[in-house]
Amino acid sequence: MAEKTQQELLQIRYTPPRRDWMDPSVDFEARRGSWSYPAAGKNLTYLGFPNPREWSPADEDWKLPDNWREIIYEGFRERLKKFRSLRVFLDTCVRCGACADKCQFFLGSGDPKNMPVLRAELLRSVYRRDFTTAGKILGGLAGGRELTPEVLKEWYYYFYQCTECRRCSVFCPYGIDTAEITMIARELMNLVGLNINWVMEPVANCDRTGNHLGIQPHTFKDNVEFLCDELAEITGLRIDPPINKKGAEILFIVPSADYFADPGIFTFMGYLLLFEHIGLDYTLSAYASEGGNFGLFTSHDTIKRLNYKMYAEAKRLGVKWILGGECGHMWRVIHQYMDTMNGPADFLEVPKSPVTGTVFDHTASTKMLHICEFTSDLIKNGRLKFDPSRNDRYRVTFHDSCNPARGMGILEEPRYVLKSVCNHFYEMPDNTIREQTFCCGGGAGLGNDENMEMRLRGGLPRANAVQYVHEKYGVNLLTCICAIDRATLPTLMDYWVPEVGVSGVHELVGNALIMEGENERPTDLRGEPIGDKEAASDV
Amino acid sequence: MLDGGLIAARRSALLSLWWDSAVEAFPGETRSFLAREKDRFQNPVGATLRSGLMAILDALLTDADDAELERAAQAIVKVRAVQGVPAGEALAFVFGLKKAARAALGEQAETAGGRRELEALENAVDRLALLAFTSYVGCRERIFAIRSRELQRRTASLLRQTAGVDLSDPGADDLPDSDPDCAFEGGSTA
Ligand code: SF4
Ligand code: SF4
Repeated sequence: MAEKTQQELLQIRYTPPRRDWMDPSVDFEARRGSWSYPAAGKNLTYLGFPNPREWSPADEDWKLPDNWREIIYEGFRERLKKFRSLRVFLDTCVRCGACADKCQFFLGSGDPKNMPVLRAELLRSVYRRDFTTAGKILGGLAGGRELTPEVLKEWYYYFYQCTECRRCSVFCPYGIDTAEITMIARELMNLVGLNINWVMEPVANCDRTGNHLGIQPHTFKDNVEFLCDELAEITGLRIDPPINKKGAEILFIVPSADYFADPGIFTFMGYLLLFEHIGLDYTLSAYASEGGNFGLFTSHDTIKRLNYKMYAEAKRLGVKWILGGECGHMWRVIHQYMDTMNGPADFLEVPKSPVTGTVFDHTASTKMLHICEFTSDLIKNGRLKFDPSRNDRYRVTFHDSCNPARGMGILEEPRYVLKSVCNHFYEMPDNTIREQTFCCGGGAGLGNDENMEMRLRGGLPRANAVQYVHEKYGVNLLTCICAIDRATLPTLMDYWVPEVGVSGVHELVGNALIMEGENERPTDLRGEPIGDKEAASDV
Repeated sequence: MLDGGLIAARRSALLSLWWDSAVEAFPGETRSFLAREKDRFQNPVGATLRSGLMAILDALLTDADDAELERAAQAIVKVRAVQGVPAGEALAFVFGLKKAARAALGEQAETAGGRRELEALENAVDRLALLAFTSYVGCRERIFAIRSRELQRRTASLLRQTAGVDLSDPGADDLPDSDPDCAFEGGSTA
């Protein structure tokens, strides 16, 4: 009997049935944990987006409009006309495979449809069948696929599994940007009401109140004051940052998580200490109270709509230029889209540091400067007083967040700042940082709770490199300059490398700054004893 | 008794057969990638599998105790536990060792010595399966705890501010154990 059982065991085939990749079928029920909840109808209604309703991807019937196929074809046609890049990206791929193993979602999950080339092929196959001559004649032989409800469901599954991180594009010899293909696929899905709530709720909130969380001006003020109270306790200094101050020189905009959630709030405290240290004439805004722009994950029109608010507020307040905090996709929007959408911002002046006199010519068109560039310049000119030993409990590494790194080339500045404010800094391996950085796994609206397991998979390559420096150098703090990272990396670390905590760069700046009139600081900004050399993996 | 025996002598053939069976759980396109890319940072799953299978086999061949065996299996289990496959599929690689060992021994499997060693190995694999299952459950429990911790982190500041409630964060050390000592990738460096 035992022998027979053993024989039976040996016969078990663990291989999933082989299927052609073109066969689209996603069992949403079985794959919970790998997809995001759909947008609530109220958010679509608020924004005037089509087909608001309550539904679930696990349902058989997705309650699409009857003519959904025509809507998508028409939308596709329009976009092919409008974006030359789209046609180029769809036409030029030679399927060389250089991008195939570069996506962290493929590396972590092993699902071939997470190879960028196959992800793009989901859209490309429909394009080939219906928008190219060869496809119209040869159909499936030319690699064309009919747009069926199953194909659409597959789009939903895989295009909401791409964080639009652009890692794959770094390796494509033709410069094909799969993130742009994902963006168009999401735009098309939006036309028939296929969107995710973690994107549309922030978009609706941002449209209404100026930030993702729907925080209204009085609460914004309370939040900031609360953080100032905590800061006063730690440093003995009372800082009252101006809010909506007309005529200030600079408007400072941060991602909302920085004044709302751990561990971003410590980064926010760092900004405030920095500005106090140099006596900056700046203002926060309770309306432009969000740097993040989830329009980037929705549609080009939505990017424009949300980005506009920052410039409208700069105009209303009469500031000279805008300084931006440690945000991720805010910078991708500023660097790659703002100028053609809402720019040039002629009513503002080219950013010039009031402390050092440095003029930041590269921002001449957008008039918006990254805080790491601003701080680096201050350090370079010897304007900041630091005691880096206050960060001695940390052995620090830096995660290049996809958007500032690949989207705008902010690579050196955060490193320069970090090396100035802490004594122990270690790089992760070369092929996991800078332009080649791995995504946190939670960008582009995927940082939600229900999709957590997909994030743990997609974040594995990043965590793997952190694990390496943790073992080799004892690294216990992973720093970054993106609010989505600060929200999702702690979770990633909790699973893969629990000894490592997460912080923003300006949190460490705030710790190290020697402020005039401050207390002997017993604790750092987290309230942890400064002399304590223990790791801080609790945030 | 396996140390220095017939199976130990066929270690590399066995590892290669076991690898083949372990990667059968992945689709074809993925399988070839897992084997091909040798850089541990560009192929963390492949590297974890490779070093994990090796660590487990060496632990079994040297008659390691439960703790050591569990640690050896942990790396692969931790990866498989988040790959969205049912528990049985996630742990199937363990049983692949039985078949691989038999095949690696070839005709020697039928000798008295071969039979004795196979029986010992198969018993050890059963022990390994239970340990792997325990650590799989540990990983899953950790995921649930991490999920609630994430939620706490998102709301802690708000609660402190509006309700004066200071949630005491358990800290990573207090999450259910999925063996934090254990690197999920134990292989050589890049
Ligand atoms: S953009 Fe990033 S997430 Fe999307 S396919 Fe490319 S590598 Fe993957
Ligand atoms: S690297 Fe570029 S050309 Fe090659 S398969 Fe990927 S997208 Fe196509």
